[in-house]
Amino acid sequence: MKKRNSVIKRKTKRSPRGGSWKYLLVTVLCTVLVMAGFFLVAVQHFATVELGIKNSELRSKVEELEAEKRRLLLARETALSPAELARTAKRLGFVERELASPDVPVLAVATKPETGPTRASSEPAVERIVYSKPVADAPRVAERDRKAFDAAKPEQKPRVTVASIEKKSPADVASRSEGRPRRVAESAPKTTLNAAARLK
Amino acid sequence: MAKKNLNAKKKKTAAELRQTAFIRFMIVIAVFVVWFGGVGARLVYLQITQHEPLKEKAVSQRRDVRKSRLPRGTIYDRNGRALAISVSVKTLYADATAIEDIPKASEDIAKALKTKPAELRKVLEEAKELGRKAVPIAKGLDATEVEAIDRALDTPNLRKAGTPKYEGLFWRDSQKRSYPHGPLAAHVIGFSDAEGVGQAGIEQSQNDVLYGAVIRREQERDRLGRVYDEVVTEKAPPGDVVLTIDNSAQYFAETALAQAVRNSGAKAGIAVVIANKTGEVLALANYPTFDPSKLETIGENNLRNSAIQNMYSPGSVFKLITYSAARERNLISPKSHIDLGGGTIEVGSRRFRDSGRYGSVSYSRALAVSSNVGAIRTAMRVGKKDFHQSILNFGFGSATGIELPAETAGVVRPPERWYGDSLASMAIGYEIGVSALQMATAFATIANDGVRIQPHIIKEIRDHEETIVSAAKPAKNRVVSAETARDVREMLREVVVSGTGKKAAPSGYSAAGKTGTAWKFDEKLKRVNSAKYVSSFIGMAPAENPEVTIAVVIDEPRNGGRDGGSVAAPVFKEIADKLLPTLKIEPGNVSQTEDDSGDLIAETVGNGESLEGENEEVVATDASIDDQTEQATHQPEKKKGDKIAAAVPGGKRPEAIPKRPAASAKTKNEASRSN
Repeated sequence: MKKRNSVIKRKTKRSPRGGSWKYLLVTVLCTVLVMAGFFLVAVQHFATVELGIKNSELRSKVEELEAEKRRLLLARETALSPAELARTAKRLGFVERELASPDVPVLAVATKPETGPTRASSEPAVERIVYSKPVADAPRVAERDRKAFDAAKPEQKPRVTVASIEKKSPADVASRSEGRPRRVAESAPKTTLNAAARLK
Repeated sequence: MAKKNLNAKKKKTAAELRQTAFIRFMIVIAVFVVWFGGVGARLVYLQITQHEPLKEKAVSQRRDVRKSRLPRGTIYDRNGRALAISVSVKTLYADATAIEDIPKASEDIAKALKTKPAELRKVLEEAKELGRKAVPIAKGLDATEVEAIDRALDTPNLRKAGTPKYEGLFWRDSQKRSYPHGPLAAHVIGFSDAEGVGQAGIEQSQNDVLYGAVIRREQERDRLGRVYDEVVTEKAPPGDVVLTIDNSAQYFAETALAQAVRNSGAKAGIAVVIANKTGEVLALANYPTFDPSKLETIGENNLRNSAIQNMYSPGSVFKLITYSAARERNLISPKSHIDLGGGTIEVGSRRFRDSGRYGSVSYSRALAVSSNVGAIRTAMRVGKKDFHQSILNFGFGSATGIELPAETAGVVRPPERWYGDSLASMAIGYEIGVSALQMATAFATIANDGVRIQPHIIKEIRDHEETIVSAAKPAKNRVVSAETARDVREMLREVVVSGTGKKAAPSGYSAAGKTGTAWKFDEKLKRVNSAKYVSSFIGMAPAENPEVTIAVVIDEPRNGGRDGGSVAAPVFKEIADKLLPTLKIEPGNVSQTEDDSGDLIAETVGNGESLEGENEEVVATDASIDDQTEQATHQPEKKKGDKIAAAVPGGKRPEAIPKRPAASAKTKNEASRSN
């Protein structure tokens, strides 16, 4: 009887212990679930942070590349600027094409009436007397100058014109093929003739 | 009994055990309660009373706010070549509080930067005392320099995000405005200051478009300093400005001008190139100039954009207006004749002269030889009011409206304030103040068949996506008829073919234009100085169908010939020779060959001489027709040596013609400053 009673007592004591295991299991499961949730959230969070870092790096990379693009554009513009091209061409031995004909008014300067501001560099500005000649003398002076000029013309003219032709562009020479150059060629030295012919 | 006692004892022991367990449990609970209570209380304390400072501390540890400026807009020429561009550069900062061993750091940094360590050490020590966390050490470094410094300052064992890998040092981005073409078009482009604000030229006038807004970045960083979250306040990026300038044309103009100014020993020079049919300014050059990349070299003398900011007495180039006004009123034609007499004419209290005696010549010839008498007599026929109106119609006396800052309007006095000889003076380009751009625009008007197109230098404004947000729509107005323009062009052609502007004839192209040589106003003398000239040539090419107008003004030439035909005309030729083929302009008809006999026709200079003893250059006249009043519109041709008291429409002498003040006082009205 006593034994039976004790067994019965034991049985009655065990039933709450079985319930506690269940509770423990539920608690563990919940904890695991919560922990798993935390873990997933943590993973998400760190993934987000990681992506944020990558995003930031890529953004700064884009900015760097844009800055680099601007730097390259600047370098290209600097290299292609007219002044730089001229310098480079000069360094490589290129010579600028002479389009302009030389302004050789030697004859005119020598015999021109001193009525305009054109004058030699050595003359001081204030000493150029434009209006000091009496007007009554003006025709005489003008006539004298004109005669001197006319007298000097035939000797000087070929030289001036040839010099002009020598440095004219081919287009310019071609455009004048019916005018003066023919006359120039007639009076020009042989070498110049050849040069003019080559230009034609 | 004993058993009973034993059972009772057992029962008591079990009860005691339960009691003990309960007590222990309660102790544990109490510990937990106290623990959590303490933590909770602390949390409540921290959350409620220490909330703000702790939050600030937390935010400052992980977040920083950086302000940066968007790159300033780019300025392009008409062909899309960048004339001004902002590039990113870096500045090296030091957080002095984070550097423990300042002497050693100074040595290391100075070695990397190739500077003196003593100065750096002083700076860092002062900054550390003041607790400064951002001390600029080296500014405006480009990518290559940054890379070199990073290599030199690399500390292998240091865990740190970003470069340089050196404790307490960090980079910050900044901007540098670059002008890849150097001084090319410097006066047009201008420059901007370190804050990215335009201070001159297009940089100043279009600052609102070009200005790069400041953007704010809130960055959150981890313990290694890596950014993991960023909030950027977006702002619209700045726009770009496309100019009408052609960098090749600008280069041609600048090099030719610089060469001419140097050769003639002149003080300064201006060159303007305008596309006649659009009013676009292809080139606008001033000499001396400056390099906007080297702000320290900019001085007062070379900063001024004289082409639009200075006014001067144009001299004979202004005869274009005189003859245009007369032709528009059918008073003259290129082939009709005018008697220039003995080459002198007296108007009011002044005597005006020609450089020679030309007798009866066509109006074309009168313009070709730049006859003052011819221009004055033509203006007399036009009359004061009509002549004044013509001047205004051509745009003088008001700013052209070009998109550049501080443009001068010039000076054109109303007829009521003219002196007795003002009409004569103005007919030959005195007593009026014009800018080089105004003068070039007047010629461009004639070149464009009499339609004046407002000169402009901005072609379009684009946003950051290269969409055009604003395009130039210049104002157009007819100034003279197409017939008048054609006839005046024919007259101008004669100037280059056989007149004072022979040296302007370009190779392979025809050209038309006018020389000008004017005395300059002298600030010291307070009147025009006959020893100082402003020499100019303004012309167009090709003459038959002018595509471009080129204006060249040389200020105070000293060496060699000083007249416009000798100094400025060759510059015109040089620019035209290079520019016209570059613009793919077909060569025109040059069958009418220039008279290159070498005979330079001298140009008369000066605003006549006073008959009241002010001027020493007084000579006698051949003959005078005293007290003749010219009719405004249909004035008969006069004999040589005419003397005209005053030009008054209606044929009556004015009762009170404004009397010309003494030399010292008259000059502000008489001659415009060119400086």
